[in-house]
Amino acid sequence: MTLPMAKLTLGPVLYNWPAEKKRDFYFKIADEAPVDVIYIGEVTCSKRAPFFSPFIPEVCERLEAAGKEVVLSTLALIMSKRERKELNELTVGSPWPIEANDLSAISLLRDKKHIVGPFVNVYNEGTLEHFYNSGASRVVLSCELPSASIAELGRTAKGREIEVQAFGRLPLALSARCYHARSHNLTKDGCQYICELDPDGMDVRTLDDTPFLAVNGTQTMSYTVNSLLGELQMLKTFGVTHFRLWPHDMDMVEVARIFRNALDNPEDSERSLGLLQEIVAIAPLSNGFFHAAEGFRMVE
Amino acid sequence: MELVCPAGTPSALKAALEAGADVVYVGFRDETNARNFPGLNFSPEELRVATAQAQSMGRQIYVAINTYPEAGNLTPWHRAVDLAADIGVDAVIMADIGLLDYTTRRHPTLRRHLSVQASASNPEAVNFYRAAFDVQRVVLPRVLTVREIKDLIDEIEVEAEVFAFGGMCVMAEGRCSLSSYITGKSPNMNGVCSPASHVDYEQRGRKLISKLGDFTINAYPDGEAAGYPTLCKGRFFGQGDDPSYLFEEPTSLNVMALLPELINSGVKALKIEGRQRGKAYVSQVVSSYRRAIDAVLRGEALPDSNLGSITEGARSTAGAYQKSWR
Amino acid sequence: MRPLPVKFLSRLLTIFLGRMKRLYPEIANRLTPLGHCRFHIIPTDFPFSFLVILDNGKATAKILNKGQAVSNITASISGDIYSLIQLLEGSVDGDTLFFTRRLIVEGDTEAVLTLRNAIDSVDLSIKHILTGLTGPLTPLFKRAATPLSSFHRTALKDFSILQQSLVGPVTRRISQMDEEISRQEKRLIQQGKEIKKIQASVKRGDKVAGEN
Repeated sequence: MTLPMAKLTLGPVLYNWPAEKKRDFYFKIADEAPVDVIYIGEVTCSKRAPFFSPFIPEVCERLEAAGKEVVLSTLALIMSKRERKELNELTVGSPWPIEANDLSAISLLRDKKHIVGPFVNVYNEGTLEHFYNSGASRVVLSCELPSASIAELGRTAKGREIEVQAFGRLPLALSARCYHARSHNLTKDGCQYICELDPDGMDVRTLDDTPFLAVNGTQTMSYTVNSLLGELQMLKTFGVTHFRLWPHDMDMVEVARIFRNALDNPEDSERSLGLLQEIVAIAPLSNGFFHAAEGFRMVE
Repeated sequence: MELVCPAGTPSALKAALEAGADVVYVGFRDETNARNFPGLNFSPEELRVATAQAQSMGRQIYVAINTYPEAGNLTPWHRAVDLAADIGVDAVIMADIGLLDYTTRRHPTLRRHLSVQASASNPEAVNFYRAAFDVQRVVLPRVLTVREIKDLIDEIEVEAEVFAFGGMCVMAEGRCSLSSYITGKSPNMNGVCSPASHVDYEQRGRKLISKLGDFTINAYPDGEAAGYPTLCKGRFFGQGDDPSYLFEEPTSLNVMALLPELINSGVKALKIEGRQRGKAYVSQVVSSYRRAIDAVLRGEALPDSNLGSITEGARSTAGAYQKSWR
Repeated sequence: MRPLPVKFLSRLLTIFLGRMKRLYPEIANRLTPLGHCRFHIIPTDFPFSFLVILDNGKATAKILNKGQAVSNITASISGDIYSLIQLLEGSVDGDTLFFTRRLIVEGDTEAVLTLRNAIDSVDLSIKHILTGLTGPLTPLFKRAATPLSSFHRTALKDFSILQQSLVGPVTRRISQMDEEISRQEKRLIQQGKEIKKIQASVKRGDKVAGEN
């Protein structure tokens, strides 16, 4: 069986990194990382967006010059008039394709080519078909889908593009409330951008001191770092075409190389896993969702 | 102003109707609804009887079919919609686009409401569902302030229903995988959050420990009001060395004090949460809200109501309706 | 403390469960998914507890003396008898009892919730179970409007004392309650005999003492 060349993608940076750090990160990715598609934009909190916005054109040009496909990602939870206005401007004027992370964006992009992001619920073939029929060229699946569902959606896609989240802490929940601010006894309005302190999120532990979750502003992340490194071949046979790496404050170029190598050389997968574990120091790896188990588990 | 009330069982339904519910919302006894708890909900025959009973009193029945159908296994959800249509319920409450699509094609005259699980938090999203599936009403997610609700209502062409009382999600509904991350069971796929099958209570010295799967969610010293170990309502360590209710206290939403403001905002219906609660809860909350709504509509002051004891952790909040909550 | 009239209570319990099953078949239906389950119900202000065994919706129960060992418990539910009876009749919300710590649950929480939901799904009335048309004290009610009324009214009044001791807030000392239960037991047995006698005499067409 011949399968189309699997594409490696880099999701938007979900955390609050200083703008210069983010710019330099993307320059390095442009120069060194074997990724095919790069998603850029503030997904988590609209208050953070203004800092990086001025750098976006420069970064996108650099990435495109390096032969990468660039996609702009929208905010995931849209409530205020300002957020709606910015979304409107983005969907009307963007020179780059858009990843829609809320139904509002899909509504504005209806019948225009777009990508349905992982914050939009796609659980079954009916929904997937609806999105393809209204202009989606690619659909990124939610993190909690088990392999059986991914396989079924792959069958429905019939070669159309499907992306799964293959690496990184998983974005599990969104809220109007900022937990970073709350944890520092600050209000959301007066948050002092305190989330900048934790470039991979703030660990949350139980009363027994067991690691539990991680907080990224208004977003709640998995504590464990999702890795479908050992499941890549199966995902390819399901018809998954794109594999997403979530950026972390670690050697993402090396992470990308490991995944690229594992996609191309399945026989290396065990060695790849060892290499990945060396890079990921923040928390253990997990793949529970894929195996229909608790998301935090690592199923061998 | 419509008062929309929960019923997990036929006796709770009766209690809701007696207490003055305009509408009772229910679910089938399976994974097609977001309160898929053991021993709860309605068989098709029970729903048939309930619908006849409510409609004969001039009241309505809504059926929540608001989980996300499983890929490759759409039949239970399709059958639930077909049954609801056949029984002649007044509306179905749904979140999944594929299921809305099915219902629009198969049962175009069956009234469709957008579930809170669809998390439509802005006019563009609401209007998407209106344009694509002709939904007649949206149940707004519990992330908006009263001010934002009013602004939103001004820009949508469908009725708005908001939560008035009960258990409150602190996360955007339908966009939360915390429960499946910890327990393997999720609201979207299984209709449960922090399921009882994974809950353990344990007396440890002078503390009651509540656990969810492998994780301790809270510890209550003797004498302190307890709560269910919903995983976002526990005590955790975040920043610093002291544990805190990092996400939310074990608390219930109660908008009683904001009722005049909410009614003025143009909201069409007020919803009480709690299909999993007993009929005593239903009776008490529904009658309190009935009295309060009637008083406000007559231009009178809010009557006293004592709902304190039935709230979780014996405390309540106006939640996201007030901006300070964020 | 005197030994409890366990035999009497056990008999009453068996009749109670049988009636419950007939009056509220929906409960069994909702309990079926539990399969085999053993609940230890502990009224904290009573000198005994109940072991309720469920088998695919079919319930049997045993009365245990306080402190008696029980094994293989699915879950235990403890609370004062007043709260437990309110819970059974659905006149109080189980979560409320739990949140305010008047109810303590240990073991399989899901099984307890299933039990609670199943019982709450009907308008259960203890009085109805014990005195409904086919209840153990049926003859008393059936004949309440007949010439036998004054006799049976007395019997009913006595029964309601028993019921009060269960349903009303438990303020009596346990020893007093023991005596009361024991007195009621004798009384009921005696009345049962008398009813049989009276029924026999009614059949024979005899005039009954007490009629005008």
